Amino acid sequence: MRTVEAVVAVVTTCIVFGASSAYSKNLDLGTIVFANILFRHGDRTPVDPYPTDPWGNETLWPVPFGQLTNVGKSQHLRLGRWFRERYSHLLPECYTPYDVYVQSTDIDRTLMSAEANLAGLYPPEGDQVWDKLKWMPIPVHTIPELEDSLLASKKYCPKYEMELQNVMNSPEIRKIDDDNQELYNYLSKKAGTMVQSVSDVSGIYNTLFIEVLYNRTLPEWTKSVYPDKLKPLADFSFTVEAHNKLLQRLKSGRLLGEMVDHLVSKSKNALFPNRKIWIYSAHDTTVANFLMTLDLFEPHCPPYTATVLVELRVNSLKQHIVTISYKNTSAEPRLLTLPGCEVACPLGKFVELTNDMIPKDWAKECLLGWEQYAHNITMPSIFGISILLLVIIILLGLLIIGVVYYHRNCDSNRYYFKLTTDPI
Amino acid sequence: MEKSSEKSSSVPIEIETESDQMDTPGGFLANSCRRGRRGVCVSVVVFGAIIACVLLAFTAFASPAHTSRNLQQVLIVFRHGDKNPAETYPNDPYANHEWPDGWGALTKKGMLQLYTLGQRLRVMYRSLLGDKYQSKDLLVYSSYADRCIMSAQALLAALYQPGTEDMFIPGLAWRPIPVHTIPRHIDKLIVAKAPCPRLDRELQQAYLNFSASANGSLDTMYRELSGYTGKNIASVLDVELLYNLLEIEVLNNLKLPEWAKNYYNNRTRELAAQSLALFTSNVMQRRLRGGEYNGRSRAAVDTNRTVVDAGPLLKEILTNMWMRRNGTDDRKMYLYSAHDLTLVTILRTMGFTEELTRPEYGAALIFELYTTAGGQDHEVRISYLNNTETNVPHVMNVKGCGEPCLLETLFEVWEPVLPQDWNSECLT
Repeated sequence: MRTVEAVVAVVTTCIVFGASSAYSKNLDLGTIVFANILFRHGDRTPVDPYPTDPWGNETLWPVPFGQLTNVGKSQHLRLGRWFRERYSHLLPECYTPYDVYVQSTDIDRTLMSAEANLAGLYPPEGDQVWDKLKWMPIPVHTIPELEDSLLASKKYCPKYEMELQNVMNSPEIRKIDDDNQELYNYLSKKAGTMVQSVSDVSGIYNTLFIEVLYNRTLPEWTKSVYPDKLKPLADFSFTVEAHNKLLQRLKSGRLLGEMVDHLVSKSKNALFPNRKIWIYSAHDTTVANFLMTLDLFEPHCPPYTATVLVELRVNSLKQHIVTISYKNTSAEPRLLTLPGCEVACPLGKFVELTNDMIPKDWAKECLLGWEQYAHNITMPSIFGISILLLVIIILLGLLIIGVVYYHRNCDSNRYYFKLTTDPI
Repeated sequence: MEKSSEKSSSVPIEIETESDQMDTPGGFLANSCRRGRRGVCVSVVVFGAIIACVLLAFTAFASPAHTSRNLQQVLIVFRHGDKNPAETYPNDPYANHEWPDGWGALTKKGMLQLYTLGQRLRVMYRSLLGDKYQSKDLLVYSSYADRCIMSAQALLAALYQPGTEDMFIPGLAWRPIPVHTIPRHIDKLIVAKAPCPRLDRELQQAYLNFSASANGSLDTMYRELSGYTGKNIASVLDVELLYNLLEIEVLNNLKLPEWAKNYYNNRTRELAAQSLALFTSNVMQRRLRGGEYNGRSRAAVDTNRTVVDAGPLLKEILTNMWMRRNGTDDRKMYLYSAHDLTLVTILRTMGFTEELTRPEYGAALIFELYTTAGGQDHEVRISYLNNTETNVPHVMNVKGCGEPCLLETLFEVWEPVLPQDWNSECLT
């Protein structure tokens, strides 16, 4: 286990970005008064090994596929302890629901990561000790994935699906697919599954990455492609789900919107209950899409426990500022600069800059063109439609009356003749 | 259960609004005889007699077969633990009481109650579950409420306490286990708050019927209570909520105001129990109210399962057992962390309608599925733990199911209370 952890640490520290932030030591960052925290779960087993994988038998792994391992649990427990340190001035040692809210996607590994994290953040203290355990239950909230448009973002959104197809068929992505066709064919043949896109490559890369992490010998065929040829494509694949403004707005916009709401309410002393931190437990794609949405993403695979902090601070001039930090190594987080703003971004400016990315009515924006008409019914259109309908009904009525009248006349004249000889 | 049955003999008001088919299996037989279908009647009686003889012979002579009974699956619906009051009333002397962790929160005592239940379940089902947590063995659902999520977590902390070698951090004898919660507005399974117009109408009618049968006898009480509490007490539900609050204050050694002495008694307790029962006062309510789960979402939680059909909690439980029987589900345990109303509702849906119940903290309804006769038969045993202090589960015999009670028979007995299509039935 030690070696695995060591490898995790090495690999995570190896992922280095072009430092774009204009970090300087005399920044007036003041003190943190509120934090939105978004993180990826901890170390897990492969989710879906490729068909010819020699390690594709679940019994070869410590836990079933896609589950959090003991390494993953301790990673998050330690991250929780790190939060305890960072927010010690903000968070009382005793847990109350009035200080923190925790939301997770409805997947075992994220639910468990959140619980392990809270075990590190809130070991029971004083009055709260209820058993000899150094743990206490703390609620983690979730929503079934297919109902979740906020965090898991798996709720069906037709507009998003259509736009994603457009992006997948765009010249840019097409070119990448064409350039790598040979690699795709090679992978398809060797891995025993159709590889047609960068996402497919990313899936195989992820499995191989974990197998290396666990000291598993990779099959011979991987030597020519792993990691050098696969990694750039896997890195790039994390830019696809939120590739343009529309995809970003529909995929991560609600999450960003909720975070901005917290910041604004907090700054006005209008956050009820007056919470200090809000925790979101999710996946690598969630982290990548969120950073894409803020235009802060450098293509990479977000490592285990990668954390984005969107924090509200009060500086020495008593102004509210927002900072975005990314912690993807065991070191201190790196400050990121929202394009168009400074590192210490004034709250008003932050709201203004993110406003574009936040859907006003997600469900409505998800509808396709013709479906949106149904939502766009205004008074004039109702009036117009009713008049039109009325006219049609009147015309139809006249037509029917006309036809009936005509037939009556015809009928009585054609088939029956008055017999003048009839006795009365 | 036993406690409340004593008291229910003095119930002043009849809330059963219609005769329950399920309670009178003889009715069907009598009817078919009367309608001149003598042949059917005679053959049913003869076959019944033969089956009875065979069963009798089986139980008399083949009792060693019981030793070959194999536990396949356990499903448990339990109430959360001790909690702080969720609300107060204007004249409450303790309106500003400092409840640790706040209103409605699970208390330390509550955590220990569920922890104790977890320890008991560990002893009862060690051979079924094994010593180590296997994610495939177990699925845990909880109501949206914090106290239910925390109760489930506390129970799991004891049910799967890791040994030294399984600890992920040295010195912490705990491991995280996923608890799947369902937001209130889409919950058809546990709190049953998903919109259902038919249920809303039925509940309104139940309240009207209750007032009609009370015939004004409660008006004085409502008026006096409204005066004392400073809150409009106008229905049996208001009385129930007030009683719950008083009960928690007494449990926490808070002295009740003078007026409450006349109301904190068995009569009000009965009313509170009746209020819980009003949600399942007739077959239609029982059918739609066990709460229905959104099958689509569940499929997402658990991709191994193919059930798209949606059913109430009782139907969900039966379906799980049925899938276990078919071999399409190999989970060993399902846990549902719920409320007092959930337990009352499912008990009444199962046909236990005679006695009024107010489930205690940590009360648990346990379904066990066994294979018997060399894997041929599937027997269901149902028991109820009154609270987390009792060691002896109360065996629940479903009327009309017999002994042993087979899974197939349960489907027949409960046919009237298992909805075919919850969504469309809600719109009728």
